[in-house]
Amino acid sequence: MSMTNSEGVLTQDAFSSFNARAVPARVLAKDFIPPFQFATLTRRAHTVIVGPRGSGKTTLLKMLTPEALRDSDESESLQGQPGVGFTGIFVPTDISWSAQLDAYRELGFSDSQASSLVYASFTTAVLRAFVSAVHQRVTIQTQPRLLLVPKLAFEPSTEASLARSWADSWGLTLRIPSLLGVRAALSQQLVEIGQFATKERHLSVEDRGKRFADHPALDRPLMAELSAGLDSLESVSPESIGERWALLFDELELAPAEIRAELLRSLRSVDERFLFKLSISPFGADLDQFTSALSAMPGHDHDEVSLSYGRKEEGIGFSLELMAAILARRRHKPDDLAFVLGPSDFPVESTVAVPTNGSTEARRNRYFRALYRDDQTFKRYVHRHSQSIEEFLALEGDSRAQFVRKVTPIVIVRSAFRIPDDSFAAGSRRYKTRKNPDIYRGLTSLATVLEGNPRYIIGVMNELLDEAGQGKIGGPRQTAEITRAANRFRALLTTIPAPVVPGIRRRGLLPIIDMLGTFFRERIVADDFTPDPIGSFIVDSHVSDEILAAIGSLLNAGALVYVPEPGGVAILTSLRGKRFRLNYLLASQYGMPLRLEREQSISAIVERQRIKGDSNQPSIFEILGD
Amino acid sequence: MTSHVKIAVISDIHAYTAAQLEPGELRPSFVEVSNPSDLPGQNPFSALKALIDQESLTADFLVCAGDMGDKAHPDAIRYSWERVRALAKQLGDATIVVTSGNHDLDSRYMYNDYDAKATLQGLEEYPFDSGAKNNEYWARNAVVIETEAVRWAVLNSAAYHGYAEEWKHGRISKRTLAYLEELLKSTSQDKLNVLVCHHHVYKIGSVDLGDYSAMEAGSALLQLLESAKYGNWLVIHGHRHWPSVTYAPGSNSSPVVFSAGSLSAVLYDELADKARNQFYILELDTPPQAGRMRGRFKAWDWVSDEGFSPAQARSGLPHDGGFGSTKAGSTLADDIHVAFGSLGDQFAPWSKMVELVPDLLHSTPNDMAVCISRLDTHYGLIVLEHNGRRHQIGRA
Repeated sequence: MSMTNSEGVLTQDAFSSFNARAVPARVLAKDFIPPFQFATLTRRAHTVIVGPRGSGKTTLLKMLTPEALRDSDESESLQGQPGVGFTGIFVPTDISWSAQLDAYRELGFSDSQASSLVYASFTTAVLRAFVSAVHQRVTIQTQPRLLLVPKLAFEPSTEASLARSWADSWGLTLRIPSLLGVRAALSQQLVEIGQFATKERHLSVEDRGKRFADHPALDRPLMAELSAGLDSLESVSPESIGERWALLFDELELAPAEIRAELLRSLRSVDERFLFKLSISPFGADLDQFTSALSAMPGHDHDEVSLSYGRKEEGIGFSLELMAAILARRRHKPDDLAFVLGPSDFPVESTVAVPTNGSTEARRNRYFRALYRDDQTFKRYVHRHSQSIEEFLALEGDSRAQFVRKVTPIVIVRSAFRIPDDSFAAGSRRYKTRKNPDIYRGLTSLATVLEGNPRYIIGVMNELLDEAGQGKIGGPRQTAEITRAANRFRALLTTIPAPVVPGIRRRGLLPIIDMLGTFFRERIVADDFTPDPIGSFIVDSHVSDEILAAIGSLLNAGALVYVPEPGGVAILTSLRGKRFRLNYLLASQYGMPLRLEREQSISAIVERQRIKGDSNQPSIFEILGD
Repeated sequence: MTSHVKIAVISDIHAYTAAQLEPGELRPSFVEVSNPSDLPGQNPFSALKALIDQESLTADFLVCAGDMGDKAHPDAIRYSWERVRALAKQLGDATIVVTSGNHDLDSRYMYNDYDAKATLQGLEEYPFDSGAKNNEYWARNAVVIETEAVRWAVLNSAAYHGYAEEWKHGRISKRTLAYLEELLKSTSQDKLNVLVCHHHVYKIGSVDLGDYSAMEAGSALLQLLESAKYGNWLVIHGHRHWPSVTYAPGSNSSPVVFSAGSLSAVLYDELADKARNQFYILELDTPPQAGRMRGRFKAWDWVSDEGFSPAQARSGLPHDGGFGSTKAGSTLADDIHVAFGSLGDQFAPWSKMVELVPDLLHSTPNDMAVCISRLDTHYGLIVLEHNGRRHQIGRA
């Protein structure tokens, strides 16, 4: 009587609700669309994977586990991907570790004792993840093509022997001598570490050092414990000798510094059977230490993978692929994404085939003609290259590319947002404050705005499809959803703690985004026309520590995007001297074009806004009351 | 050939609007309708949507056992009804089986003039999509609906709310009981039988909340169902926010009583460490066998800031459970001991035990707890559970 419901994570609705942390790997695998970085992650090499919130770090790591790969033969999107030649051991960062550390200190434990307790929890969690990964290998039914390490098979007596060996090594009390019994005993050990700490509070401080030293779960070296565990496994399963095991540490930025430091020490392990694949936010004080430690590890290469796209052409292919997958899943028929979303006004340079038609060109020409009529500075620009606007629009070849196509995005936003020269009084604001016109609609613009970020893409596409029925999704609906998503993103930014930044009166991260957005809007929309306006910034040497900290937080949240030099390293080890732009989802709310614009130093921007008193200027959100 | 009927169950949403709270009054529910969140960690309906997507859950029926709103607020009731209908659609166009709770009827005339049921009667297709059935529901307080595999009896146990002190408890009147029996006589006798009402038919649970709100004349209703003249029955109700599966007092023909916990109400302090907000899917075998109704259920907990996940210990009902077996928990333990011994291993998957002792599939959570305890104390056998599921049995 019941219908089959094959929907999975692609049908999550809320913009910021989807978090792969809580989703089992097997569920993630059903809808996984691999970005191009996935192939790098499958290499038998150490890897640092860097990306802001929602960029898919957790999903990518979980996709390297036997559990996720179990049904990979059934996934069309995974066909053609390279196999995974190691066993992925997924270790999520427990967000309670930091809180535990603080609590232990407040309860009177010394720093080293508090660290010792939390590190014991961390080690136990890693061992449990290791046992779970072995169990996943044992419970594979049919060997999937993408998992290059074979199913493990034990006789019950062998499994019992292995379980006892691990229990002896790791100080466990086994209730059942099996893999699951060991996992349960490790869970119990986690509980007992907490109970030990609780009991310790009431015992004399004098003998505490000895009791800590005697406790079997405290101060165990992680890699030595893992190596011993692997030795035991290899002794009962000789066919697994020579295999690699990848420790997939997720969201390391959430781990306390003490655990990260211990992990760094673990990276000096010389056991070549272990690979490390670490996911972390784009900016953190010790990111460079992790990358250096990995590069110094013997026996394996190391890769650095970034999941943010400074240049939109890099991420648009993945965006379009994921959007198409969601559409197919929701509509249960092969609808054409380009048909459903329609063409975009903004041109895009992409290796992906982008549909345009005569009406796109006609619409773009209307923007040019309108701006020519309303903006004397643009008119002068046109006349520098031709006698009339029609002659200008008819330019061909290199001239067209250089003078017309290049300025199209600027022309679109100026035409949409700039008040005509003949209708504003001197000194008044030169940009319109009405709701966004539909300039960000259409296939490629929407894909650009969504920044290749799976969380944005899943959230926005599902909201659009929820209301669209079976047909096309109109421009106003797309625009409204972009605005809604941007508002939710802005609301999220208000929840992130931020320092008070001198020169910006309002506290928090949002005023910094507003400062940048309004500054760029002034340059792009209000100032005299230039084909090359300012729309990005460089962190110069004069910038304050507060601004640096705020930029780091904004990068980690995904509100700012790092723009590496062409061919440059995508991983940030320092902010200074680096170039950044606003996330396009936020940029769209300041009337900015969807392309990378010229940069200016952040100190100059802050100083100019401070003098102008613009730092408290209302954003387009406040003006519109959205 | 045996097939299954799947019934999703929600109850006691108690949605509210912030404006209806007095200063300092605690919120009654996690569903606030004036500015509802769509984050699964903040709105159980959104969490349910995510859970259904993730687990590809489907159901043939969606039971909503009343109290969609709190204190009969019309906006809250309307919001919940829309979400219930959307939920049914998401479950694969499940047929909705809904009844009214005491909080759905404006018994103190806060929002309607002397018409406690005005808001409910203004809802589209409530409780049925047939005008005639709706009139019967409001006039006779009981309706029987026959579907391909299930005969549903829907009882309005809050029918007299709005009169005198009736809001204090549920009721089935003699007249309604007689009418229900007439309906049962005249409808098919070879289907699964499920009765849905809001109030509990007898006192349940170990927590004394000073509760006197059970259905008046509930024992008469149970007597009718226990007679088995009209087949064996499953009763699904809400109201107490106390998840449990019990067998009604009487004989082996007494109905199975599934007391649904609340989907989203903030639980009383007395319940807070014994139950959680829960969502269920029941699976019944069809055609029905002779004897007590047999079935299985799955339960998920909603946890604030997280969303739904498989039910854990002390959640009310466990993630996996059943009902209908006549074997006591201690007997099941003895059977398992024998079955385990026949394997000769130190451990075995729990699924193997279920295969060898099929009654485990249909034992109630209480019988299962007795069974697991006896396995440990009498036979030194440990059952490993993980994420609310039993995985393995063995001994050290």
